[in-house]
Amino acid sequence: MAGDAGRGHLQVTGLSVEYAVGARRLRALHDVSLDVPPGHRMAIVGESGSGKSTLGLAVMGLLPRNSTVSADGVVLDGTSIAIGDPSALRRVRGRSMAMVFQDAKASLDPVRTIGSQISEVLAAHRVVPRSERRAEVERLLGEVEIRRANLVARLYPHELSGGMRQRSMIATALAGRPSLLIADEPTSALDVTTQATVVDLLHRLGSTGQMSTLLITHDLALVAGFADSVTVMYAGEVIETGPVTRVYSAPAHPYTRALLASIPSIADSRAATLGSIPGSLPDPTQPTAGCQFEPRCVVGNGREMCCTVRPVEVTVAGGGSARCHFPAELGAVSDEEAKVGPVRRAVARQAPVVQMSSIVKTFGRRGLSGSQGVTVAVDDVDLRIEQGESVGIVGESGSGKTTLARVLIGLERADSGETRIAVSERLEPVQRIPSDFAQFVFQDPGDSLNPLMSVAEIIAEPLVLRDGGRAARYLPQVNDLLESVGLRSSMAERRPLELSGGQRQRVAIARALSTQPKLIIADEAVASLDMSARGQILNLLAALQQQHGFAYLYISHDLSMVRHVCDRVVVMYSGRVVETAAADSLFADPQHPYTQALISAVPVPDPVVETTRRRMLLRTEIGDQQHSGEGCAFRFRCPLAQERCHSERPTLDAAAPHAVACHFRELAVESFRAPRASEVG
Amino acid sequence: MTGDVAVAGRASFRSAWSWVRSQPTPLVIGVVILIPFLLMAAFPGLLAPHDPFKIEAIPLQPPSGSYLLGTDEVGRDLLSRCIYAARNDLLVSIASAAVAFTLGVALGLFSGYVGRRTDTILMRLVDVLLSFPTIVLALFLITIFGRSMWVQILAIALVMMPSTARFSRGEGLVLRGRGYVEASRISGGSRRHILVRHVLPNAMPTLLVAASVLASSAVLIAASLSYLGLGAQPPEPSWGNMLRSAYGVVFDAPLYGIGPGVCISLVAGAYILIGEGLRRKFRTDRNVGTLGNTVGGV
Amino acid sequence: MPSLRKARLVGVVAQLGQLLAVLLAVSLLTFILLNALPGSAADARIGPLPNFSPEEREQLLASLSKQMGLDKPLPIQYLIWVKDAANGNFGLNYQGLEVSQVVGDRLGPTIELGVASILLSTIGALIVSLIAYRTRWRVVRGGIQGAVTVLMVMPTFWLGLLLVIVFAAELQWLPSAGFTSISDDFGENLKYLLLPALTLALPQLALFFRYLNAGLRDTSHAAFVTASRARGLTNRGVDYRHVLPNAVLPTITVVGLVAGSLISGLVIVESVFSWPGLGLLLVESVKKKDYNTVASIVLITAVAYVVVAFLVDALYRVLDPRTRRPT
Repeated sequence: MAGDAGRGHLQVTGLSVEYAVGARRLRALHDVSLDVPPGHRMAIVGESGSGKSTLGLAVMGLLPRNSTVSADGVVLDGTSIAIGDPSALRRVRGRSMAMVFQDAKASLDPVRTIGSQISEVLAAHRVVPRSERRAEVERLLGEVEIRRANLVARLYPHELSGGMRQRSMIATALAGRPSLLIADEPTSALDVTTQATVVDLLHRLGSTGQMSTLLITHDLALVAGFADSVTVMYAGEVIETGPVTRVYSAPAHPYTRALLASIPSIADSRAATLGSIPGSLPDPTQPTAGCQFEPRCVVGNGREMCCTVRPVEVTVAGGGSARCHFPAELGAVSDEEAKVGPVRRAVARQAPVVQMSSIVKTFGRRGLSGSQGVTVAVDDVDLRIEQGESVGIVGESGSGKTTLARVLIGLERADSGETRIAVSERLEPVQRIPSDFAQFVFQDPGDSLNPLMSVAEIIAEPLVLRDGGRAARYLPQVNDLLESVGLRSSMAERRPLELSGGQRQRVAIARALSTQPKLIIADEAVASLDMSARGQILNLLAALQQQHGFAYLYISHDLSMVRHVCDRVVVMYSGRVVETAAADSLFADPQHPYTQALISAVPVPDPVVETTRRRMLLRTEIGDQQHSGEGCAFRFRCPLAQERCHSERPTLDAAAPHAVACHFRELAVESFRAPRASEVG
Repeated sequence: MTGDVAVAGRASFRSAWSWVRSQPTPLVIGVVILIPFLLMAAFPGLLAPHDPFKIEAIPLQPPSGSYLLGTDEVGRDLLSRCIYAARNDLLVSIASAAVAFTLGVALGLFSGYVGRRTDTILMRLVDVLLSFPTIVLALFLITIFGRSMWVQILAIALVMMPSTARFSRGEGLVLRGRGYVEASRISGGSRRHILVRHVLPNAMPTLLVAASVLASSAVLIAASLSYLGLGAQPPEPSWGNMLRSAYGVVFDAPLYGIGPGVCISLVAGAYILIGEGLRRKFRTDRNVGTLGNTVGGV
Repeated sequence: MPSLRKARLVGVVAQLGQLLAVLLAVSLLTFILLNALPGSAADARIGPLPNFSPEEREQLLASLSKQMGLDKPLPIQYLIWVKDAANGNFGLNYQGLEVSQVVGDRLGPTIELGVASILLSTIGALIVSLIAYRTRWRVVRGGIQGAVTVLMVMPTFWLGLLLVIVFAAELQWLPSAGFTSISDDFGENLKYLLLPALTLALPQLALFFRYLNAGLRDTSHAAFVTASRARGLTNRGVDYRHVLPNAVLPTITVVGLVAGSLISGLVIVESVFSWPGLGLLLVESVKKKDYNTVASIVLITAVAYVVVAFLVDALYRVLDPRTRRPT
């Protein structure tokens, strides 16, 4: 096709998109231009509302009907794409350009087999003759590293694991042999180890020179190891673009800089508070004439130039460009606001506040078919939380971490095991933990606040339940609590729907604080928030801990965050604890093969580190096998598994400062330090 | 002064009008349709042009100036009979819907929220009731307990109750998993506190939509029973028994059935429109169609 | 995978068990209601008997009660009743005829009418909803939706009346009521069938349409539909290969529910068109307080409901791969 130059040269100029919502017009994209060279990997990053997904859909011609799109030109490999012509677009879609979506489960037809969904693309674009379709389907599945392709082709999407589904979707995208692949958050719904293998696959597919890749994501760490260049979007505009190394080492736009400062890295222990960006996105129905970032900008806030004139693109030394009036001043304000972060607690052991022993929790019931359908969610787990300590439980979905927390707080009843809590210096067993001993912060504040109650009623509810009376009686306490989570007391009369995501989570935290508990359990408490709000909430939680001295139990899949906030980390896999140690020790010297894989799979937001880092990739077969009681839970995915691992369950030495449940601990240590070449990412 | 009052009056009228305008269209239309029927039910004597029980004209007249809908087979004014029938039909439909709603919602929300074995047992019972087809169960009950209006109301209510319970149980199940319910449990909220403070208020919008579907089904079931001669007894008029009479004289007076037929459809339609309006107003997307269909199979 | 097959088998057995349990409960409830009736079954059998003195009547009643087993304790009576019912023996009706015989005669016409209406309504709903979904003209969509709304709120008997007025009274194309057996004259049978079947089918069509329409609309917003458009499939291909199969699924349950409770509609329609089926018999028996006949019909329809629900479940499992194999 394009000969030596490779394929996939995408040029977008002056692309704008508006949505009509009721009588209002909502600006989704404004004058966006992109130039993706052939065979290039470009990442589009931004928070929700930045327009990054709209950009992908607009190029593909998949915008909803209530949108109006205009562009000076969209050109792929020299051929202009008629952005307003549905039938012309249809012929190009799936053929010249293809798209991979976030949620593979929802993006594959549940009632058709994988094979038929790939083969219909082959048929629609007449890629290969009918007689060769079956072979081509299997070749494509092989291409996305699916083994036993002829079996998988006959399966339905729900019969595959998340990673396999995403690979299958990538195969449908590759079927038309496109020159441009747009991947919209392709890994956000996946576990971190699976994410690593899928990103790896996309990286390899994008390295042939025959296809360029547009990775749309909110995850700056993911971008670092993947992309050649990065484009940062804010409020529907491109505000900075450039080679990935330059953007990460010397961001030219204040927004890019703030964003990079707000994400914790798994490579650093906690040293400083996270950066945060005050304020929120501008109203997309009333765009201003000036710079869209001006109200939140440390450099330009209030400056007349920034308020009234839209910045032009200025070339940045080191490559790329940024839309900022005062890029030179960014260095001056640099890191003055970086404060001292959460203090690392002394290693000396303190008295425990909570001690859980031998907790077992199963779901499902034993019916006629015996034990089939019974899932062991938590399998003989001990957990000890000390006074004022921050403990993190990490693990992938299905590891039992959330169930353990729910058992602790009393939302689930354990099948067996004991929970003891500190009552005046002694540990005493309890059936149910009292509400003024422990409180819970849920993942989604939109769901955990009753939409019909006022903020004051919500915050006062635990007090009302404990001490009686009406919510109004506790107004003084409510005001204090609001203040301590950084909200104005005027918020007390608001309803949750009138608050932003970050504000809602603050209300949820205030409610948790109301009974002055000794322990706060935070279950993915920042996972549903945007990047800039996450930093604020984590900083708030750290500050509150310093002030009140309670203990935290963080449940999270985000290892970077856990590294940043936790003193001690517990790693769970398939209902069991496989490793536990002080955070520094665990991240510096992971000893269980699963922990090693987990940590090595987490991307670091630093392109230089990422290019030299080596990954230990775990494979999953069709569906994830459920382990049975015998043997090590991890044996099916473990590179070190031997006969013994199938028959004997490894134990965890609870007394050791760095406890590992692995028969081959010494071997494991070696394997991490010298990964095999075949598994290098 | 009077001018001010007039201005104020006009202003308040204008603000009331703009409030009406801001409501979802189906809701407004539904209420507008329903109002005349409520008036008929309340003041039939004021609205009816003739005595509905008096034989005063030639039977089976087509609609004319003095008898707007014509006369029936014995020469009574059809329009007046339609108006007098409103009270019985509206009362039966609203009362039976209210009874079914109260019992069904209480049972369903409780069952769904409590879950486990209680739920299994209650829902099996509901399954058993559900497997008696609507009209059949109502007929059975009327055979046994007689033909009074109260039996009719209770029979219709009992017929609609199981599906209401089913539906509310779904709501209870959904709400049970909500974060705010769990947060309340963590803080020691009792079952009663949670059901009253969290579950019921948040289920209400959806349940109200369901209630209007119930009312609509009740109108149709009540009319069916009357049609079969098991509802209001002659000479007491009801839309259903008027249609029954209309059927007997279809070749002589084809227009006889128009009045009662339109009345039933308008009232049933008004309830549905109100339900649709409420759904838009509360933005609840849960489909209450199953409810309408399982109770409405007439 | 043998364990899978075993699990499926166990599932089916468990479902059959549940089915049986529901059937038993249904029969128990029917029996209880039956016994809540004022006056005994023997009383109803004898009737007023004007030529007998009260004493003579008492005597007759006592001997008949004994003969009918009414002197035994209720639980025993129930067991006998269930046993007899399972053998197709529902006792005698008010005229002293075998209920099973009378009811059996009515089954054929009822099944014919029911099947005809379900076929008409499902096929019709499929066609109409596809037209409404695929049409480019809003007028067509709006028109269909308006008509469906009207059908939803029209009582069946009024709809039947209107059809009779148009097709029997005015156009005189079809008979207004009556029945000819399918074995006597197929053509005549069809003529008589058409209006009642249509009357029964139209409201069902409206209901199915609402479900299909909602299903099509919801599915058209599904991520996999956008994804298949992103793969360059034509609108037609997307609609028929992906949207329709997924949209039909929820409607199947509703068709099952309606088919299972068809008797509710049949009661009305058979009365309107004098169609000699179970529904008409039920109404007649209710009016004559013929308890045995009513009870047998109640039981039969409840059994039909439970069995249809079971079959629909099975059908669903065939059509939706997600319910077929464990995730």
